[in-house]
Amino acid sequence: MFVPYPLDAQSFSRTPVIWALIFMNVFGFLVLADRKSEISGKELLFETPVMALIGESYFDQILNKNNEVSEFDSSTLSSTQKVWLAVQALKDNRFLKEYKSFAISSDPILQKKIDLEIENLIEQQSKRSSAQVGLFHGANWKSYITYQLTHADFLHLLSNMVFLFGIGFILEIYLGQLGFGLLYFLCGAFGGWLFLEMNPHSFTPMVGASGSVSGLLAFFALVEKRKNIRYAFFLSPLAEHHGMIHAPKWWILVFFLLTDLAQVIANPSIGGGSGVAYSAHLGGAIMGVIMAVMWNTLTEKQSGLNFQKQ
Amino acid sequence: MVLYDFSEQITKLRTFRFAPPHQRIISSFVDLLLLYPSAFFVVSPLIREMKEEFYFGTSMGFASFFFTAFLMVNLFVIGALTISTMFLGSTPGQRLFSLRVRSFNGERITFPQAMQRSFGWVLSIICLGLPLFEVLTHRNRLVFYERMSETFVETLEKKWSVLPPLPYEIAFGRWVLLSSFLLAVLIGFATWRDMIRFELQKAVLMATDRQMLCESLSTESLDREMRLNLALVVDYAFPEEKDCLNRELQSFWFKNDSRDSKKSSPAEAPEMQLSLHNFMVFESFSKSDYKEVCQEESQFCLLIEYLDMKRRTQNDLAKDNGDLKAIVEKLRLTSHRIPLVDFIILEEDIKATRFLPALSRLNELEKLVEGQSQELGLLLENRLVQLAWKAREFLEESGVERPQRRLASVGDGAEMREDRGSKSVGSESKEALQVLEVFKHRFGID
Repeated sequence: MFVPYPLDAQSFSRTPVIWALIFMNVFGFLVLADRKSEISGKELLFETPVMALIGESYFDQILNKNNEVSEFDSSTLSSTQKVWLAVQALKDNRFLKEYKSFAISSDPILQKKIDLEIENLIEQQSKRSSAQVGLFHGANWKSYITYQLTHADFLHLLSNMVFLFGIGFILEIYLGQLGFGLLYFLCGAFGGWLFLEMNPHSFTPMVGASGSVSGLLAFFALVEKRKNIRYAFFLSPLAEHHGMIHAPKWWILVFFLLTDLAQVIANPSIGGGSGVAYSAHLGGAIMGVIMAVMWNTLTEKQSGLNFQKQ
Repeated sequence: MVLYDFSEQITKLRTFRFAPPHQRIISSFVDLLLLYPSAFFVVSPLIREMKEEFYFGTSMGFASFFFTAFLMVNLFVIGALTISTMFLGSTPGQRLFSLRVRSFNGERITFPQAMQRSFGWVLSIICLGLPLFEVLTHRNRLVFYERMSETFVETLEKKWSVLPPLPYEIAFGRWVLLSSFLLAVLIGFATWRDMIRFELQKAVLMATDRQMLCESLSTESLDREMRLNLALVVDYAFPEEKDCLNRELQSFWFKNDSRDSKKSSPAEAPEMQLSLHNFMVFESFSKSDYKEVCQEESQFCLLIEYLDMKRRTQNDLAKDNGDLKAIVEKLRLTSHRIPLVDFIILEEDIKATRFLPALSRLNELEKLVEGQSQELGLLLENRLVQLAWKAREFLEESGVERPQRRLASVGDGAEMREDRGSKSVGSESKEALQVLEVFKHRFGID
């Protein structure tokens, strides 16, 4: 484990926002978390040949018609590719809205069966708490806030909270409670917005504070002009195998944000992801960078004014 | 692990301050965090293109995609490490702790040495970093790639003095290796848990249920006809397992009790199954299946081939060969084991009396397993949908213009005659209607 930890944990009275955020995230996870936050291939009740039919229909009726895969031909698709496409189809709003109008199978009974199963999947998804508090197309404005306080699973929560814990105290002291709270939610909201923009047909709701945390990391990497910061590492409980080291601050950008950018570049527009909303991470980081530039500009002007006064 | 002993050379180098092991491990971790994201970022546009080809194209399979991406990223890392070690004397992580890489002779490392080190390091990372823990367990604190490249890492800070591994360090290193191995096994198991669980559950359920069902067929209270019907049902549900149907078919055909192995004849059983599947599960039969099973031109296989032909083709064939009678005669002469008439009767028998009862039985079977097993219920449900379609097809055919092949005479040579337009809405149609009604009720189809 290797986490930036520039300042020791502060008391609740000094940094109430960070503690409140950690509490809300943990509480949100315990109360609202779905054990299964999205539809995955494993949950699909269809057999492989039926999945292949769905995938083929998705390719022809949605992707081909929208010229998203114009250089490829559905006749050359393998059954594995079709099944993968079917998984994508069941996450695509366009397909889920129009599937009843597609002749997925020439067998009307099988067609009916497929229709019923897809209906069932949509209904299951709508019953999940991520559909209530997560961020998706058509969600109300509150979702931009609530999605930041819910997590899909324990590891998701833990990783976000570790970074929030590591970077949060120094930022709250540096920015003040209002500024820190604003930065957190603004980065998260912008991350959510970018996720929706980059995934305009996504059916799966997004949850997690990753966008906000990425924003905090990016902000911290660019403000406070110190060269090195403290990182906490842990290899084992043995002496000298855990502790603190000082390393360049800009490494944060490579360690934690470059991967998100690379993932966004590497993943094709049609799926290809691992279920992690890298675009939301990137959005949060972009907002963090914007805020950092604004902050730097503002504080430089202020210091300039102070200097003139002196 | 000692590939070969460098202790003498190392003894000469005791004047150097060997880097503390924990610093080396942490520096490796820092290198990992710095280099792999950078490498991934650099090759990400190429990975995107490969992914598109992998998902939609024909030239990129999973293995080639994975291997190419893996190779590109790791080559970048090897290159970056080599350059850094050779020109700067250390990697970025090592610079953080003021560490320096040197040859055993105390000089700067050469390009081949840097390459060997970098390659070995990447290899260690691929192996989850476990070889790096040799700095805790090896007596000279040298990882395998250091012994290979005859290099070591020294510290520029004077406060460190590295001793040979203490017992607790060796114990810890071994503990790490053991626990990592166990963890890897656990992660591997967790990753494939769902699949394994599903497959195992399915296999166990199928085996137990099938066995149960198959055993239930053997009860004395059921007559031969009913046993075959039920065997067909089991065969519908579990097409990959043929034993149950095989046994009943042998019993049915050879008028033997299948439990008496001396009397039964297993020779034609697979072909009989195939013939039944040909009649009942039309979609699943193909010429390739036929060729696979019917290596020799046995009576059954020829009959299947003949019955599988389209009517027009049959007529053409008859035209070419004179008449149907000659074809049937030819079929009959290919084997003397089983009279041809039995095949014809079987076909009619299956279509008229066994196919549809089997469908309705399938529904009963589904009710039986409902609540006991989700996977089995799901399997049966899917099968029911497909078979319900067949039932409807049968109803449509029998209600309008269904050509009926009937056996005119079974004496000297078989003669077949076709009666067109005869309606056959008998007990079989009622069964089919029942199946459809059940299906409609379940899925709300009008």
